[in-house]
Amino acid sequence: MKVDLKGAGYYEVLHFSGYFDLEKLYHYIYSWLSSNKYKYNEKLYKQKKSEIEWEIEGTKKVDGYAKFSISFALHLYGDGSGPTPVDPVEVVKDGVKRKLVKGRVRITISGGIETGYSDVFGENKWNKTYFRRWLQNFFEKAVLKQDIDIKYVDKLYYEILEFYEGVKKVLGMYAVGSFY
Amino acid sequence: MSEFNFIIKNQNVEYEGLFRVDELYQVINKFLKDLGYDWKEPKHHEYVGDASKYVELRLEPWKKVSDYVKLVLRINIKIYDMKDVIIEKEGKKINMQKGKVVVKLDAILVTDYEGKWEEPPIKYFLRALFDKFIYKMYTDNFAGQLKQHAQMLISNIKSYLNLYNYRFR
Repeated sequence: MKVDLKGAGYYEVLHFSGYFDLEKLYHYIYSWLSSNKYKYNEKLYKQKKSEIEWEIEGTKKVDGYAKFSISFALHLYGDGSGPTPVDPVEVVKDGVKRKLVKGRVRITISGGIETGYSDVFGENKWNKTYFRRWLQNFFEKAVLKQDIDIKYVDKLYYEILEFYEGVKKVLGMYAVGSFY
Repeated sequence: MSEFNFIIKNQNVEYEGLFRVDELYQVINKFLKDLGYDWKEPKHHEYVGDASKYVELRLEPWKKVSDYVKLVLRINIKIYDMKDVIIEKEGKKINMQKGKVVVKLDAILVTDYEGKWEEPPIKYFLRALFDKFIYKMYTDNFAGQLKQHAQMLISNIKSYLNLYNYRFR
């Protein structure tokens, strides 16, 4: 079964317009996902004349029953005047020269939980027969309901908040410093 | 659908002058964490222009107080014409921001947040009866609690922005 956090209203949307370090953002996403034991999967990379669409998904098996996924979607709008949508420009910030890009960016961060996930061969043992599906449904609604909320949904949501906070810091946004 | 009861609607705080955006954010964030609210930030816009900056935040922290009632604070923060400034305080240089801050706050009491009492119509009818005659005392209690949280938050924001200096005595 799948619990979609975005559908349940647990998602964060960021809009930023200004100068930022795209390379640093990429490194941050990769290092955060790998340090939190997520498998990195770049689902989409689309480049148009003045736009970049980029989707990344990180998945992690929490235990034998549940699997977390964090999705990061970025839509970047540059001016499109150069050969690439966003050409780096040299900016002096705090006395240091840095290569940054200028553009508008929209980032959506969300996640999901898959319970009774498929094994390495793509076989889902909870989905084989009608009885097993019914059993899983009963198991999650009657036995595991509290566990799913506390052990999985809360944990994943706080991981998303941590990731989100890091993304804001990398972009150099002002409203940062969450205590969660 | 869940029922939304606005306990406080559009309570406003306006300020123009020096402040730090990260500190203002942290004041709100820490206060709500201490009260046991979960954090939700559905909107965060920052536009850096050549002359000034614009920041818009929508925060919707929430707290489930029972299986039936949820407290939600909806906070809209808009910062116009923001500029970075460096000030000197006790011989130290501090980065600050200057601009106009508008904070709007709604306090919402959400009942039946899981939507379990919507259908069939008899359930909806029972819910209305239950709300009005049996559970009213508890709902009023939660509403009072929410109102108190909202007022405490507003006074925290005002204290941070130093607005009480100008209070009429």
